[in-house]
Amino acid sequence: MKNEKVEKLSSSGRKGPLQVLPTETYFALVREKLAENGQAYVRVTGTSMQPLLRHLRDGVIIEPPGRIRPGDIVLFDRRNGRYALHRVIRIQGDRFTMAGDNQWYLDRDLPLNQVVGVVRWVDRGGRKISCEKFFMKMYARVVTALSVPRINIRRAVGWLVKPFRRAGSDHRKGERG
Amino acid sequence: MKIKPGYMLRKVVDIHVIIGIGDENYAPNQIMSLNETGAFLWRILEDGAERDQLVERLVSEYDVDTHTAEADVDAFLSSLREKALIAE
Repeated sequence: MKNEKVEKLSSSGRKGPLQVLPTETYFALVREKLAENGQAYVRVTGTSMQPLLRHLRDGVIIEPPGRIRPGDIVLFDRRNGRYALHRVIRIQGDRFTMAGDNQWYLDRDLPLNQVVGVVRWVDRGGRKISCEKFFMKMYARVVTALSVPRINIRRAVGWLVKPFRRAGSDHRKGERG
Repeated sequence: MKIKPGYMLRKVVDIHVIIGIGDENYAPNQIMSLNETGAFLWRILEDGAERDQLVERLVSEYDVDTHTAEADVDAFLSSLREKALIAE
């Protein structure tokens, strides 16, 4: 018996047989879990928080944002279907600045109310480490304090070597989740 | 070729959703879905099948000619490869 409901796949259909649902579908579940359990697990993707958080190997446990402090890693909703897991560098009123530990620019003037959650535990290859641990606090403090000079030095070096580089080779590292 | 072990196909209301459990290379902050035909081919690939068998099954189950079925199967297989969901 032939199936009458023929679906044209790639050849004529607009949508392919395999679809990746919008990121929001996934993060809607994360928000739900956060509201329900007060905690949610998010797997790390991208390299922006290396070496602490490794792409697909590590994860984080986030909790609803209470008081956010510089040094905290937050899950931020960019409201364009993209999310970022980056470190808070400074807070000014209801706005803040964040940067990935492995990124070379600051993300400034972001609204605090778009923070979905704050990382309280890091799952490093299966080992659960609390962000309240002495080492983690020191690490956060050092990385946060160094982020601005680190980025400025990089920018200065980039500016200095620019005349010696061929035109068009000025690449900025792309934004990664 | 065959769907990799760590993946399951589940129907949630009327959507066929791919769930990855146990595959560490799976990009987990993503939910993938299949349409009716995609799900049909997926189920065959769970037990393992070659391209020509998939085309044959598609033609016998759905009202499509071989030429269209071939194009559809090829497109489906390349999207599965792109997402690293099958083992050859």
